[in-house]
Amino acid sequence: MDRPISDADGTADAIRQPVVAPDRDVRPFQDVLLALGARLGLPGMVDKRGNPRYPGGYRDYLLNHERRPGIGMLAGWRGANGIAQGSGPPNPDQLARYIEHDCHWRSEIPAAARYYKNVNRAYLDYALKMGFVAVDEPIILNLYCEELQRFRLAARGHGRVLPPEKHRRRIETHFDPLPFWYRPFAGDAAAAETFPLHAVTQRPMAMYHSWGSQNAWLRQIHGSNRLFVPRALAAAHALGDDDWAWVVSRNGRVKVRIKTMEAVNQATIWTWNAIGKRAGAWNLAAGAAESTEGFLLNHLIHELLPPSESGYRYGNADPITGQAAWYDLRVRLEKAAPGDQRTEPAFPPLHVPPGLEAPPAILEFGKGFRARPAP
Amino acid sequence: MTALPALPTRKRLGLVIDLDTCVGCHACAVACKEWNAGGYHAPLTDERPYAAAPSGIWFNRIHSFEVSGGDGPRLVHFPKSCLHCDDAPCVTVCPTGASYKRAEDGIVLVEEDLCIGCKLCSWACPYGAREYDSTAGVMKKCTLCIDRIYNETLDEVDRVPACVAVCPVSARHFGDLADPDSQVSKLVAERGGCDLMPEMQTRPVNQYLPPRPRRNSPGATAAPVALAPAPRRSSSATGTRPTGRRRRRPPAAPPALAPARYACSRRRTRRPTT
Repeated sequence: MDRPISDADGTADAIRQPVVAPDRDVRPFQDVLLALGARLGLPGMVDKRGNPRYPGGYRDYLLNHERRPGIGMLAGWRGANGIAQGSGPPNPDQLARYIEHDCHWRSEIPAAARYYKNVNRAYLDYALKMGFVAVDEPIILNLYCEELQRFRLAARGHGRVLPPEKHRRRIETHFDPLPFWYRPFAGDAAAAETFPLHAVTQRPMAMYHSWGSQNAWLRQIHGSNRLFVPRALAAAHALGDDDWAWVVSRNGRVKVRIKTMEAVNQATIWTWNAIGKRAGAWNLAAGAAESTEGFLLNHLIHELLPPSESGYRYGNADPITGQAAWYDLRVRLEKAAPGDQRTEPAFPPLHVPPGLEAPPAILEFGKGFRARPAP
Repeated sequence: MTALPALPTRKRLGLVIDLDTCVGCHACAVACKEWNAGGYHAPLTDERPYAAAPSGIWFNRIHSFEVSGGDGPRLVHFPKSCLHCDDAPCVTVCPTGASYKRAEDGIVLVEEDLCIGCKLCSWACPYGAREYDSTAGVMKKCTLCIDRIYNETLDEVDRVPACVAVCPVSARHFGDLADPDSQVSKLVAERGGCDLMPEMQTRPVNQYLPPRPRRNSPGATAAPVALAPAPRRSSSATGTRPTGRRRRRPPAAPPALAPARYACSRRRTRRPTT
């Protein structure tokens, strides 16, 4: 089964089918997971007698696993005669139908069901039939979150289960049943004075477009990164394009090369993420731009917040979701003294593991696909 | 040197690239590299791929600029590939006939078997759209994905250049610019599409749609200047809610801005089609 391919106007799913058998003693990942699950006797992986529930491996699992009756891994061609969509008993010929249909299945959502879906009668009927919902009642989007209010009430001493005393104030404050804004933890008054700037990063879009292609190509697009600094801010620090500066946070300092820019908030500096790499990593040669000019802001961000009054250090993360609070980073900028023209901290190249092929001096990927011989 | 076919060619297949919607994501550049690494000009050789200063062949390169002044700073992302010019200087300069323009559809191609790697074409091209393969000793270039657009083993919907197929914001369009009724011709007419560097008199087939004026004043977008203030919640209801700063008055609406001029620097001159 491949990643979901549904869209707003249709429900769809897809499979990939093996086209060649492995030529050595290896087994598909999913088959091995199922075998391990059965050996460990995990619930759902064994039958009542303790025998493997899916002895046919992942194929068996795809066809026969149901998370509730009639709702399985694949939504197309269900039922004994293979005409049920969405829900229906397992069909032993289901995978054959997928393969006949270019490995995918799609069901158009009726035109009347394509808008205001959460309260659209036609859609709710469709969703029930497909097994998306267990009941066909309107789906009300709650701005007020009762679950959070229950945490808050517990923090106020209501109920049988109460949070530890030392966490109560934090829970009462942040488990607000309505969305609200509060000053980021890392942005307290002291930080605002010492670290007046926000620093944020974004992963380069090209990386999202090429997971499946060679990263040796990507480094020609984004092989090094600059810190983008609002022009007025750069001028205030006597910095110009390609000058070196330190970005300093509570947690550390990183030496970077800057590029001035206007289209950015005046108290924010930013850069592309995921470019800085240590030489040796990714088979990069010593002197690769990723290691000499590429940098990460990771060195500036601690996974914990500074100690609270009690000395306890909370995670540098959203108190509800635990999402790392990278965008709360506060920094200041300092012009770097003349010196080495390279990013810091700098690390010696990583040891190349034995057996790893040396990187090619010339990469001719695709040469073998050529229909006619090269001259 | 090498002669051009009778102009205009029967078809003028090319790209229309929308500089208003392009977000500079490089999807087109990566898709181009992926397809063409195994295509007509395979391989698209990379030199020093894992060392300092790697260099490789890319038929499609994206240049990003920040434009100041006018209605404020804005980013313009400018994808650049061969423009398949009518008066292609890379063809007329070629001493061997390797670089040629097809009479039937106007596509400019390099026949590698005839190319001696003299690089005259890359000197002649004002756009820098040629890519020299120093390993093979031949010039390579955008083929408009000639191995896709006529490829009957592909579904018809896929018979477009890889860069067009992949663009997530539909900023790239492919079609026949000789046909005034084609979608691409209509798009060019409606959006004021223009030649790149018309002063070079290359008469490119590819057209660029200029960025539209920004709509960042409330009047331009029909959005209110600010949202109506929310009713105040009593502080007793929220316990220890952190007190935010006092609500500021909504900022006054900025004055309506005159539309910026991003039109073509010079009107295109078209040779009569008779």
